Amino acid sequence: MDAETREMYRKTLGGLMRRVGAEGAGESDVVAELRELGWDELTVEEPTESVALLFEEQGAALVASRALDMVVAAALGLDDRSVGIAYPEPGPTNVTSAINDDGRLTIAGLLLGASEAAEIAVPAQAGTGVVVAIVSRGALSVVEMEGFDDAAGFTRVTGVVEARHYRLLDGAAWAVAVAAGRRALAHELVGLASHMIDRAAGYVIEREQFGRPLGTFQAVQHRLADAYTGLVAARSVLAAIEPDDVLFGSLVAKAVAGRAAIRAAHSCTQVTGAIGCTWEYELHRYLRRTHALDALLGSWRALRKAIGQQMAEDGHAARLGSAPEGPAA
Amino acid sequence: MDFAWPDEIEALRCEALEVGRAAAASLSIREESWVRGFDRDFSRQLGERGWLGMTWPREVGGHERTALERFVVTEALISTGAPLAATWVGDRQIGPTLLANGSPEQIARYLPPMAAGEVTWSLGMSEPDAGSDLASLRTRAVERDGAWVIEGQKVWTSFAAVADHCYLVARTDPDAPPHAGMSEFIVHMDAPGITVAPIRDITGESHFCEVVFDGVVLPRDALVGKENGSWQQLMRQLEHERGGIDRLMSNRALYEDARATADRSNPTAAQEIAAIETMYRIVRLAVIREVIGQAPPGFSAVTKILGTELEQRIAQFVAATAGPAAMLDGRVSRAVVYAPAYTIQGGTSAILRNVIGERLLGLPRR
Repeated sequence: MDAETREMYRKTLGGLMRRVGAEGAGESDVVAELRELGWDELTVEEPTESVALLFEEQGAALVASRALDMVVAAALGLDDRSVGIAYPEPGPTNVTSAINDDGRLTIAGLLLGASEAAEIAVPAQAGTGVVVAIVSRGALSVVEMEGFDDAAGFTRVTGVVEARHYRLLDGAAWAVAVAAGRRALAHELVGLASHMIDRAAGYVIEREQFGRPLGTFQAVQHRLADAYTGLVAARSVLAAIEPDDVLFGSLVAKAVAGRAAIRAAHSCTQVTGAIGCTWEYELHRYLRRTHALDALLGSWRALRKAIGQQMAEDGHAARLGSAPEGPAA
Repeated sequence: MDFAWPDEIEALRCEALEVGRAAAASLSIREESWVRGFDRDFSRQLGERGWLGMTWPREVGGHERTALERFVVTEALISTGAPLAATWVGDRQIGPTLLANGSPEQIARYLPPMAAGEVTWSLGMSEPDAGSDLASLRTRAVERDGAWVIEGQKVWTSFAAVADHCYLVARTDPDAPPHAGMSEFIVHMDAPGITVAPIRDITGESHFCEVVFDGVVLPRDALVGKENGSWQQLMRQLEHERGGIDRLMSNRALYEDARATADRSNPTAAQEIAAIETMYRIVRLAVIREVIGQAPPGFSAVTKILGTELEQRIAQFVAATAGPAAMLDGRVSRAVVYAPAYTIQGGTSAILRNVIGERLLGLPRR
């Protein structure tokens, strides 16, 4: 994609996201609007850049949509991209649903914008492997959440489904879907961080104390510079994902982006001072979304551990970001 | 050097832990209990036990206990999450500042109800355009017909909506250099012309308020200490506000719960516990140094930076221990969202680093 085309898509997607963000959750169907804009064709032509642009703009505008479901469904090879995904409960295990010996499927997971999808794809442990089962939305019951980030639209669901009431998805690779999801979430975290840094920079340019803008103080500049450094690092990792190393590359990207976004949230809150600690100011909504998205499909802490384990198992350092002339490993 | 408490102080500490645990037993959130736990009944109980104004003279309702005794009681109470907010500002800083700067009449009038746990004080310092740069405050106090007339606006005034009194800093000489034209006043919150609007904070709670003073008339004797002499008085008051045990203990109860459930076979968790426990003891010594009067002016900046940054580290530890699912709802997520405020409220860490540079290290002023 050339720079001009990218800018055009960024403007279109950014405009859509800002409009949806202003209208509030539930007013618009982002996924339907994307389809109308020719999203499906774009993802075939530009599978990587389309996701990058969409999720960065979604993060920047703090929009909650089912776009992630769409990306994961595509990676699962589902023709019907409107299928919902029961993401594993955040925690130490990779999947939190399971098919028991008697064939019953026990579901525990999170849905995005729960009520809209007729069918739900459930990754489930079956023996030593992970399969993906398709169930009807009606088979799930909703568990109340206390609302850390209500606007994220997460719903905690559970259910037990008899073998005759679900079907297994042929040839679905949950690991590939997870990688696609992590990559999209990493872009969204980058979008959140980028917006927070822009807003905080704007604030410290306007706000004056001691007769000069706060942004002229080095203590303030350094906090924002550190946040920006983290953002650039996260973007670099995303750009360095090799086509033949997507599983590990996406894992690293989400770890780096999650940590960078959380740090950016804290630095931006610090430099906006007491205003940043009010409900009215938007920053805490970004901080909440950052933590919520970090929790999904592996928190930065969990992924960091996974990176270490993988490197220990392989017996060499990961390839990601190696210099072209460096060791092939 | 023996760091163990003498028997009678240890007994007092255990008693305070017991009282605190009982008071906090029914609370679902025990964090920030000194700034959000508002309970007038418990305040009166504290007064009856002699745990308010502990170090003050008997004739003003105090109990002439040592500063260390007050330290162990307040540390124990905050560690349990006991609701101290209704009396904390008075006990921590307004009582001491009145003892240091107030007239005998002011001391006799305002300290006994404070020590009895019957009144709540709020702080009228920050303004919308005077946060870190406190000396730029613009609220005016003008002398007229033997009275003071107050015009202006304060913000982040905790519990102003329910407080009985506000300790107000206002400009009395607009022509003097900023630091030399401010004075302090006692305001009764039922005076005509005061409007209070609560502000929702980052967790959705509202102890912060915005307070507008529109031609509020104060009697002549509402002035505390020297006219135009607030800055020196305030520097001492801020040491009480910044250098105490509250700046170390805000989320101690949550930490202790997390420590109990942490996987100690995990070296990362074990090292983090060791680091937190080490730092906790170091900051506690800094607080004790302040408590026993061995800290130089400005030292509270060191104490507050160390204490509040440890509180933020604790929030991260708690989040890591509870796991990512806990970030989606409940007590842990609240603690994580609130944590950035620790290094902002009561003086930002950036301002405190300036204080350390200028006052403790003698570096050039900006």
